[in-house]
Amino acid sequence: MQSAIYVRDLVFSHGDAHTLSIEEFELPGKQSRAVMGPSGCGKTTFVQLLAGLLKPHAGSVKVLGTDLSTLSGSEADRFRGQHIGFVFQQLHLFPALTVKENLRLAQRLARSPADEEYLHRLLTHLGVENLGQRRPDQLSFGQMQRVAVARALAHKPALLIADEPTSSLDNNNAAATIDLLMKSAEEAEAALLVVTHDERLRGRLDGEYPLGGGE
Amino acid sequence: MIWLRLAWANLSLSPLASLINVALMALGTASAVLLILAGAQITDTMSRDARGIDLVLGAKGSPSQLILSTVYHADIPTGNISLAEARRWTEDERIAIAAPLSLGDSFRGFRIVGTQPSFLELYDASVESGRGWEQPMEAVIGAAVAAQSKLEIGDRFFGSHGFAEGSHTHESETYRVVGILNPVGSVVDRLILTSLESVWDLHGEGDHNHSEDHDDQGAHESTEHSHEDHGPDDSLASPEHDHGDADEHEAEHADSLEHDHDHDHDHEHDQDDAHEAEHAHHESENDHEFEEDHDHDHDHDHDHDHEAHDEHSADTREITAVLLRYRTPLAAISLPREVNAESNLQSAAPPMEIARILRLVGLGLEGLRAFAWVLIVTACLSIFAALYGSLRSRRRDLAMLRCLGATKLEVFLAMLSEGLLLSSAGVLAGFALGHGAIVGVGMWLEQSRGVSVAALSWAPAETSLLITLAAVSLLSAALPAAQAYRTDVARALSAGGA
Repeated sequence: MQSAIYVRDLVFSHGDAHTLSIEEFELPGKQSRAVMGPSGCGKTTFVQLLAGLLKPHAGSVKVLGTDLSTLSGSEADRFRGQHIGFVFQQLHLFPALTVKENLRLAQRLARSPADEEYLHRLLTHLGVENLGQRRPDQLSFGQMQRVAVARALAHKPALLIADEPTSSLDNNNAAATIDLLMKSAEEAEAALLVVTHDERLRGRLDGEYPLGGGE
Repeated sequence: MIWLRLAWANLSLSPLASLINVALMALGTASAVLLILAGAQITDTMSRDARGIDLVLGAKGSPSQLILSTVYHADIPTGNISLAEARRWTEDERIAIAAPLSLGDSFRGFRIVGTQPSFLELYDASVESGRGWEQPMEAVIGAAVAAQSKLEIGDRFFGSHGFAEGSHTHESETYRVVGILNPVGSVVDRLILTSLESVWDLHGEGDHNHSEDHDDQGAHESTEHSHEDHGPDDSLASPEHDHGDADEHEAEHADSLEHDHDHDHDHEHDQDDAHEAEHAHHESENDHEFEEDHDHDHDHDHDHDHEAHDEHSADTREITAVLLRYRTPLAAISLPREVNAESNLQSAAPPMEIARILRLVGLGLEGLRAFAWVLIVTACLSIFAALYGSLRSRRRDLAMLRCLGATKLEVFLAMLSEGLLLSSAGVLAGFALGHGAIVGVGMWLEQSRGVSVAALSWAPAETSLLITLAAVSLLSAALPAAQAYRTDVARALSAGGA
């Protein structure tokens, strides 16, 4: 099976002080991995390299078999929109749009055909099917988190990346969140990469990759 | 559409701020549109009213005043001129059409113009119903006068002295409507035309004992103004009349029965200056046999002998002005200069005076236009500030858009859409407001003054305004949009991440 992510001899630096260096990293398709490390070790930089928002100074980053460094800016944008879903700690739902509109926007930016039935199924699966017409400020944090996951999966990506999804949550909510992510990715047949410094997630995913040597 | 939807949704998050920005832009645009339309209407109306008139001869004074009073009927005349002296020029071979004017009275604000049928030819006007004036005190009314006053053929009305409503009426004689003109879309629509004799008769009534002999009126004993000691030499001066004293009037009236044309015109007048100036016309001369196209055939019985009267006054008859159309454009080179150099008359060319008046009006319009642009620039700055301010709070949203697959250009367009949505709403509302205001003013002018205003017409300058507004709006939205374009996604996301 094709790897969802394959990184080899990656080097990226912010000047002389911060250097991210990964010799080899692989996330097989439909599996899950946690990339773990302390704050400031370059986890978010790694996510942006995977998203094609940054280009490595050396080495290669392949997502679903595509070397992102070979893509132009707009090609990388399109690739990211079509194949990767993101969930951030801050969620970043668009406050002016309703839940449904947030999801439709994700489909639209992925250049996917509008699929209202799939969106309804997704919201139903996540237990927020009645909140489609609400705006984010009318939701609880838990509901917003579910909507953020739904948005990340709205365009049926092959890779779901979650950046610090549990860092500000209590134990119960952290466990629920990671369960939600794993279950949703499994349902969507997407690979799941969780980037976190949250030690509570240790052992919860299919594999772990320690990050921290670069700084 | 998705970007417009997103832009609309973002703007609706802060409706009050959005509304203020739209209102600012609308006010600025409406002011500019209003000024453009007003300027276009003024220019168009002035050109239309003066079309076909190459030169005006009148008493010396301000040429602008001469044009305003005799072409636009919007000012008091500069004075009277000698008919004999005017005839010297009207009979010049370089003149194609000459229309003498005798002004001085009005009816409900519509000016009564003593003239000849050549006046209709000059304005391409024709009688729609009824017939042209043939006898003194017969009147042909313009289309707007008919619509406003509800006068119909056969109706009679009193003329009021002066040009303002509320002036005292000439109740000694009534005008009879004999014809109604076709609407021509110019000042003619708002005029009441009659013969020169009508005006002369009416203003000479104190000298001719009309109040005794007119049997078709019922109000001859009313308060005619005092015509004490009228004299030809005083016709260009500002006579002072006392209109308020009926007793005094009767005494004066008695004097007038003597037909003494060597009156002294220095009696008291308690009206305003304008009225006094208006009074300067036709109160000194009372010739009842002006050599016009038709015979002077009074249907009332004057107790004086026209023929005899003409003998001693033929050279002293006065009119207000003459409107001329050249036979050849070459006349424009020589005739005005000759008139000014070789006679006591003043010549004024409408095109030159229109340009002069428009320059003066234009100065005022320019000032107002500058103010309108201050409003527009303020609106653009406000939109710029609103968008720029929202960039800070929405930097992560923009980064998220990029994560979802939006290109830099799409993020630029998203931000641009917001600015353009605000300014477009303001500009559209402004154009609607501007035209709406002109429609309102036009309806009022139509009803109250009989002036037609093409409120819904699109002035060419509006296209320039629209293009300029689009450019300014684009610029004010493009700067924040360019900032959005350059959003550092990594930095924006890491601010909230690990």
